Amino acid sequence: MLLAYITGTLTSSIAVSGIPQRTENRPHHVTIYQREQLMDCFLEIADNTAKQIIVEDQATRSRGTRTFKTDRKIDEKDIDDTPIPINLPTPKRVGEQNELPQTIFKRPKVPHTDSTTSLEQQRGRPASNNTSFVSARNLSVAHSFVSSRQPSIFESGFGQENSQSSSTLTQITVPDDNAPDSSNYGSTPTGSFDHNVDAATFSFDGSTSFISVAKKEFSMPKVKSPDPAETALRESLCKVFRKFRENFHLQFTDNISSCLRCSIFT
Amino acid sequence: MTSIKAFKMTLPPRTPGRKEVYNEQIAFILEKLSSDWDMKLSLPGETTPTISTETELGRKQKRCLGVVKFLTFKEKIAPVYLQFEMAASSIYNGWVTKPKGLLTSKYSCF
Repeated sequence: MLLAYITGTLTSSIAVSGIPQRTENRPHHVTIYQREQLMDCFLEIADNTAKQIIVEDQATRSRGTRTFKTDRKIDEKDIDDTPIPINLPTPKRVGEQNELPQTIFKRPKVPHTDSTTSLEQQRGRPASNNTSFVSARNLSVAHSFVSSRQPSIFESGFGQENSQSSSTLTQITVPDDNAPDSSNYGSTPTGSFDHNVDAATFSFDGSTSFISVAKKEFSMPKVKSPDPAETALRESLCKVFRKFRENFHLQFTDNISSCLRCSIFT
Repeated sequence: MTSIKAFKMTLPPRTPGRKEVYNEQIAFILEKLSSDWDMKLSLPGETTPTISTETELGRKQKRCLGVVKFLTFKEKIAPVYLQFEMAASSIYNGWVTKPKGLLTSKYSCF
């Protein structure tokens, strides 16, 4: 029975795999010389692949695609490892903190005499003798405001059609030789300002003084008598620009209405 | 202490780390090499004795271990093993590869 069982199992195992079950996982019988040969063979193959891997790694390292910790230079320190001071600054009290801005930030003094002279010299005028600090500051503020503001087409006297003064005519007409400062100002709408502003009102106490300063410093000289040819030309130009403005307004409203329609239907 | 031990016993087994996975792979490759080709390679542990580097065979075994570890970590051990199997079968059988053998043989019909 036992023999039959053993033979049966053996034959079944042979029939399945072709090799007896016991000898299937048995290692090849290898001599010491063959073992050495096998080890040499394995080392040769493995060394070649290992060398290839190392070369690839070095190539990627030289290309800079990978960054290692060893590649970093000693001088390039990512972390600021400067020693922390032993005596840290103590936090100040509330009263001291409030006093800080007053002590540190002082109000800068404006060199008013130089600024006024330089500005007026640029305009071709003699330098004024007004050397008060407040007036100089007002002047600087007014100059920055007026010079930065460029008038549009519609503001250049056409909105003030009814209240036209004779001085605005010089903006459009050919520059007159009698008007001394018209070439410097170009098309700035400052002609309607009054010239007769008292110097005593130079105190920065509100919008009125600001306007007065602006009037004083950037006003245009008045023209003695308007030329009839100039008035005719100006009227024609007024008409043209009025039409242009109306057309522009119509186009603008049309565009808005079309946009609204699109937005409603979509 | 007993409560901590009891709590640890109740915890499920943690997932194996990367190092453990690589160690398993290395052990499997070494076992395969030693079982197929009787190279007697094994990881040095508590039960297995350390490999002596006095003999040439011991040095080669140690080198083989190092290379297997390196290639396993680089995940290039499988093609190396396949190449080695092909070369080892030829060494074991005693056959020598002769690529120009067919041209010089007398009985070749080509």
